[in-house]
Amino acid sequence: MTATGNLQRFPPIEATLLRIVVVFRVIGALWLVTLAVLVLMTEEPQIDSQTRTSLILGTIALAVSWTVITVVLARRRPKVLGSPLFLVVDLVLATATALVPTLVRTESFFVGGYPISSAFLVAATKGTTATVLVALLVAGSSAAGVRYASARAAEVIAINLLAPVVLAWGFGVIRRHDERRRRAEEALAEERDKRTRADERAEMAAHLHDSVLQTLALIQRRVPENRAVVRLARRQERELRVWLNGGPALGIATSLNSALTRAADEVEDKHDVLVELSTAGDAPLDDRVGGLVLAAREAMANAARFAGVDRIFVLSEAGDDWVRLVVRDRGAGFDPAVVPDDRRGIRESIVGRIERLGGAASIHSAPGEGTEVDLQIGAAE
Amino acid sequence: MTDLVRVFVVDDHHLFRVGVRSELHEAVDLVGEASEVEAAIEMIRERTPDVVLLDVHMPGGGGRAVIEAVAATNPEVRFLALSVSDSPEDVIAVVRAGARGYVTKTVETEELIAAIRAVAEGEAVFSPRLAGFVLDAFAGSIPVDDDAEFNQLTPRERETMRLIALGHSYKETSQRLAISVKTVERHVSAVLRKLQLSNRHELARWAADHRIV
Repeated sequence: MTATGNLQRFPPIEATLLRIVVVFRVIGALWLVTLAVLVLMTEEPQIDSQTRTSLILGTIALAVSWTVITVVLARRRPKVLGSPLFLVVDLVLATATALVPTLVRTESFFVGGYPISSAFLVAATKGTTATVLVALLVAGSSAAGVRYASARAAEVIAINLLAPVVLAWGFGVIRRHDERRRRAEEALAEERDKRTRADERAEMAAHLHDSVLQTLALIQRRVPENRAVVRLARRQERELRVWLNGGPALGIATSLNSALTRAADEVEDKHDVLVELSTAGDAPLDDRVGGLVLAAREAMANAARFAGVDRIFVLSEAGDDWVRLVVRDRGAGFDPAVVPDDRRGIRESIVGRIERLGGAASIHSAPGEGTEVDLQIGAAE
Repeated sequence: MTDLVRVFVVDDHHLFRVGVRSELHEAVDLVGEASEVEAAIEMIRERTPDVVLLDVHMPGGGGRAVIEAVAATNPEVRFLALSVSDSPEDVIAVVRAGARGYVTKTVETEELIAAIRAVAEGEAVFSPRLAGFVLDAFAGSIPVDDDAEFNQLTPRERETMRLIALGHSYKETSQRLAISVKTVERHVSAVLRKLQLSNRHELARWAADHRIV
């Protein structure tokens, strides 16, 4: 017998089930010894006395030593108890033991509950089919073993068949129960793990918030004349904030607000302006919303290029089936009736784009009074 | 110099306090500063400034704790919240606790001074960002079952918030809406009150949705 599969840890639940079976076997063996001694002491021999004595003592010796082996193995190498070789030997010994009462022609079916523990072992280590087959063998040999005994064969067969099957079913219930509990525990541990990580992140975020973001804000306040430094500080602040908010690491926009934030960031970076973005409500990013964001980005870029201001305001509002985006600056403005040649692109890429999306776009501007680009798709508010 | 607004600064960031001091020392009367919640409460009660410049994020209960403690004993002290943060729920929480306004720390010096004076006058100061937060918080026209008026913005209040979010001053807003500046101020104060009183579950859910982590 080799310790196959011993590398893998034996599941605690299987060890428990095996222990139950082993306890049955120990009780069966003790019961066998008691009854066998009684037979020797009280019954008149029906066969040759010496043969009878050696058969009964041999059965005792075999049952006790095999039980001891089972107990030791259950503790040291539990996997072995489920191996085919062990189970076959176990079954041969059980059926042979069950036949002894008939061999010695005793009235007492003294082997009692011992052979059935072999079927119990199969119930604990193999499936229901194997259990039924083994139970049939044990029941058959026990039925053959009660020929001269007072016990009735029908009862012996019923018990030997039913008990292992019921046990196999019970073990199945326990196993499923254990499996569910283990899964719940694993899920709980995983959840706890996740929460720990989230807490660490929150702590880190709080720290960064209290120190780094403050410093970056201060830099923007204190050195406004140095545009390069301000721009750098602003970009760092933005990146940090995206990370703190658990934003998309790869910068993939999935919603109106994330796409708009990216567009605003790009304009800030490229044109060295501050975009004050307010978002009320959000919407999933589909082709139309994407087109709207592109048009808004164009409007922001235009404001940055032509308005001559360092701040642009953007307000986005989204309802169930509509989105409205307004881009505003307080800059130079222009007369919409006299659009300069170099700015015809605005109308095409902003107004034209929105109209193709089936939305409405309007541009309000006057020289010296800033520009407001109002874009809307879907039903009005 | 008694007509200068008396200002107290609460901020746990040393550099920021230094910066504010050097920018504001001519325009306002700086009566003190604190870097901790407990010390701030004690000193504000003692010196009773007109306006407290308050960092939203403070260790030990945040700016909210300062407002709540001071309001209990000195309701005349007014608060202007500042933060570097985009996190709307913290800002809304401080406004709900009683701050009269909110500006970001990147605000320009003149704007900051104007905001301090406005708060000292009892006005509400809405930066474009706060107006955006308010629109977001009251977004959607879901009817509220108890239809308390403070659970929704009126169309006029909403329009006022939209214009402020787009960077219009109160004056520009009044011109756009063809109403007086006083009326704009009234709308803004009404919105501030609604923000403080509102019990609409959307506001609570909105705050939960916007948790930083």
